[in-house]
Amino acid sequence: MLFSSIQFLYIFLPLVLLGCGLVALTGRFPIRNGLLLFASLFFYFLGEPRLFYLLPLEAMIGYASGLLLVRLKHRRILLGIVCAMYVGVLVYYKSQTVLPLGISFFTFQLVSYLIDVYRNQIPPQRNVISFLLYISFFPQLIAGPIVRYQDIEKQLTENRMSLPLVYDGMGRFIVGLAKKVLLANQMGELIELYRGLGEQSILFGWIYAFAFLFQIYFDFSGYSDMAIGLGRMVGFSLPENFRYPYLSTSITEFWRRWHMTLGQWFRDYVYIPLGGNRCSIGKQIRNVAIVWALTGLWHGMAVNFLLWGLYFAVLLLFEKFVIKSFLAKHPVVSHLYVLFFVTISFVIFNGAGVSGVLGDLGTLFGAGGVPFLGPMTLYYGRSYLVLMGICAIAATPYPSKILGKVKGSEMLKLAGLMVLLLLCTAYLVDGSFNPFLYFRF
Amino acid sequence: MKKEKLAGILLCIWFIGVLVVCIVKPDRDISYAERRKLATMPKLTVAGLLDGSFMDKHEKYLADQFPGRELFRRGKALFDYKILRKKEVHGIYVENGQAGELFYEFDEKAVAHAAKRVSYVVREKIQSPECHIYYGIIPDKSYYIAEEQGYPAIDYEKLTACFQDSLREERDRMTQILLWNSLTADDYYTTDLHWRQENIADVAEVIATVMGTQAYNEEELFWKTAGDFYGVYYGQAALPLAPDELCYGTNEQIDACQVYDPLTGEQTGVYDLERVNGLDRYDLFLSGPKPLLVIENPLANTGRRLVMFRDSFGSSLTPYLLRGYDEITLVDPRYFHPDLLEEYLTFTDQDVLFLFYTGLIGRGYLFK
Repeated sequence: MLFSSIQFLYIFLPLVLLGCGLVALTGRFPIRNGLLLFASLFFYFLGEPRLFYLLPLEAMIGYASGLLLVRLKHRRILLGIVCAMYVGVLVYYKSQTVLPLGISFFTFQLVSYLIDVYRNQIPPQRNVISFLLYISFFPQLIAGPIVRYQDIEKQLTENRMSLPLVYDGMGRFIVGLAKKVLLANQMGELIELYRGLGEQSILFGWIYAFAFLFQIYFDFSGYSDMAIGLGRMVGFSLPENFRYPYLSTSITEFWRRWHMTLGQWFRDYVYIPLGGNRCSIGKQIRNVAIVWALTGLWHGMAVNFLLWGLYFAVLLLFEKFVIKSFLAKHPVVSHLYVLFFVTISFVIFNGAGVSGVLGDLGTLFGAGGVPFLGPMTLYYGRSYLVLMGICAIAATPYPSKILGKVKGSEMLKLAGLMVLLLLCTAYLVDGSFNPFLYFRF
Repeated sequence: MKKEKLAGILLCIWFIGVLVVCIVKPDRDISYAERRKLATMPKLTVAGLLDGSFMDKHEKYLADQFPGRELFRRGKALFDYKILRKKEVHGIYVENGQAGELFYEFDEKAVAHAAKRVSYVVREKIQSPECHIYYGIIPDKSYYIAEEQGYPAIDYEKLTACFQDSLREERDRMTQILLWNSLTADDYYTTDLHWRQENIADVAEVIATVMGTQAYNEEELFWKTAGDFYGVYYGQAALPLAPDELCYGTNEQIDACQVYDPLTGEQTGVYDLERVNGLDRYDLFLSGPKPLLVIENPLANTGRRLVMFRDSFGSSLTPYLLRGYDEITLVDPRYFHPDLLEEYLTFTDQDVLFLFYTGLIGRGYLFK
């Protein structure tokens, strides 16, 4: 069940809101976590019925291991065994054709929880329901954000649900839904058209590259917005995952704004333990290469993901040791530089194997005599021009800044949200193209 | 804070209200605008739940039965077309009031398959030299409107050449009838892919002339209306298009014809007015899709018979051709395998016409 489905919007969500609302109204807060856990496991079962057992099984192992880690003498061995088991299961499924939903995300949460307990940064959660809810919380279960236990620990015992928060959460959810349904899905349609057509041209290659740049951003950041909004509705504050990454003026900055919780995870649990940048240049290069190879492979055990990760490693090192000061002095050039290399990176990311990646990149630069234009390029370029323009604007903070300055009432904002919600509903009712990219990872 | 609370309450009411309406609202069986049966609540089974098919079907059911579905579809189509300025909606574009389908690629293998099935019938079933065999291809509406309006269109010359090449040596026994110049965009319904019966007298004349017979002209028919007609493009695009008028031409001779379905034993007239109340009003012509029909024309007395392999375009064309034939047998190769022909038909001295729409032969392996 996708967030952007009628089932979720008009059956699951209202029932969860009703349930949590009744709990909040009657003051029976202790049962809220039980209710949310039931909803989360039910949500997961509907999406992953065959491998459903993996989530509660891994979570229970994590729960028990957390408790043991503060009691056992040989804590390091236990941590090593359990983390190796988690990573082993993840690697196994990553190399299979069917990847259990959300496994990349809940595995990272479990590993981070155990490491933090091991480091005595957090006490283990003794309440099994609270722990299972932390791991399986439906808003972020499938595609993040990756939540650190210390970020949510207090919220598991606080009743923060209120009508203004529900409204705030719904607003964020609807904006995320609109990003997904109105922008990402339509860019996805254009990409399908490009893939399905016989016509190749340089311009269509670039249209495809920008369409995917927009699709992956609006798909994933839309999902994160929905997750954060849903969390707020039921009284949880989830971490931000995106902050207008396409406005970055360096690749380093881009990765501070893109999939922030994944970057933070690798920083805290891989990069810094390896020595980070407080070591020799050779080791720094090694550390960056390891982190980015793993970041690439986290998305899938395919060569193009590994290439994609290493591509960023090279760019980050080049920036760090060669062009850092130049980029700082030339903001326009540095912005174009980021857009260009990030666009290319996603062409690599979305390529079908090495030959597919080379083919796609070749088209962008006219390799093999690919013409600049073709009739279908012109046709679909015109057909999607307005939408691409909207995507370009929506990827910046300007729309929300402008809306923030509108001195109207909340009712005006509500009207805007309702228009977006009705439009999204219309697209869903019409049975439009509706994949979720990050379910693959 | 008060306004935020109120806004929160209103949004909650919306979500919960829609849920309640979805539960309370009775399901609809049919969408007349989309001309299809709507999905019904799927049966919940363990197997369906485990393989995910239940959830997929349930989502489809919810979309089909969603309150105000037609309004939502219309809103989405208008947003796509007017705000996002997309060139087409669900593959349908509208130019100068004419809805057309974006049709710019044909499947060469499918065209070859159709031609091979035709040549198989000619070679294996029509061995009598007394039979005169003809073939024609009916252009899609996009042939007349796409390119001048900036829409991509298929290469019709290539499609025709592909069809002819695949006929192989049987092509020498067949006479081609060219229809491209006998039609214009206005000869098609604005909301549908089919041609208007009242506008194809020229087409009928060209065909009849090549086959050495006569077709009715417009003045020889009395024109009646069967009301408004919302064609297939109307439902597909969900754009606000004005309906067409569904007209049909008849006269004493056509009224006297008996249409017999050898497969079911059913007898009807050339125009089946009961079908006007069905999903597709175009089924008025010869009762819609039928594998095999025989039309007896007792008042013709021409001594000639025609066997026509056709699709739905042939249904509205056939009445014009009744002037020249005592009997017309209609075979729809989408539903009737040629190996069954001997059971119902012997080729002796009939005229045989193969007449198909480009969209049919160019897009799928539809011929049995």
